[in-house]
Amino acid sequence: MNVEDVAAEIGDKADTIDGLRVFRFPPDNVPNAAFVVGLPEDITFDETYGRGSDAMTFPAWVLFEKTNDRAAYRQLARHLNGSGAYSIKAAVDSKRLTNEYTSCDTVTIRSAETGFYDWGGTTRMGAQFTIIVTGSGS
Amino acid sequence: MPEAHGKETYVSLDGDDISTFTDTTTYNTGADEHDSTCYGAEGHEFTGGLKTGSITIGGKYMTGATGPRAIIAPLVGTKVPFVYRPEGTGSTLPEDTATVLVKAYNQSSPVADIVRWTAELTVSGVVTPSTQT
Repeated sequence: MNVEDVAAEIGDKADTIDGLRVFRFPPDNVPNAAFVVGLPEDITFDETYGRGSDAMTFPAWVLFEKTNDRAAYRQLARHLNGSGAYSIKAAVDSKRLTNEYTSCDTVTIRSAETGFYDWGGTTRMGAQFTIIVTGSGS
Repeated sequence: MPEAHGKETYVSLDGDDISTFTDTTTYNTGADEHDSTCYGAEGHEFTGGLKTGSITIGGKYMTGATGPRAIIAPLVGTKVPFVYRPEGTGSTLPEDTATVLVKAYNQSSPVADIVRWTAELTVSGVVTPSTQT
């Protein structure tokens, strides 16, 4: 797997959701309604013999300005749903035949944690996703 | 003497290299033991009998025509060649070959993890240890 390609493709999937500004790398500053794919938190090499399989854990964030707390809350909440047009899990999770990746084999959002995040000196309301990726080691 | 890392291990079954979706190989060899104690002995005496061998392999399920479901599952109940190279592939490195009965093929699907497979192999005859050329 190529780390940059995987991050880009995760971003491509999130970009199918209306209203999100997608960043396929961590920028210095983020606008309102941003989806940011971070660098892998960990990479596990050699999950099978002969460089057959590796695994990576990516963090990603969805972030909203707090200028109107209720609006930010409502926008954030719909992206945390497990299904639906605004669901980040539904857009990003790989699925055989209907939502496959070319840069890796499987992509699964394992969890999401909400909170307030300081990004570029600004506090955002948002959520951090933990994304498990598996794919070829070569 | 240096250690050997498992990532180098090579396994093939029925001529197919299955290394890239395999992550565990448990390789057991042994022999029957026969009690040959005679009257008057003060302790048991044993004689070695026929050799036995079993192998359990397992790993990550891969989709498609080159995955374990396509390659290994159809072999259940048949005897096929098995090759095990614990230190990897290369001239002078060790290699064990045997004919094995593919006794079982199993899959498991944990909800929060990758689908996995295992296969149980029984050595038919003896294992032939050799050195790769």
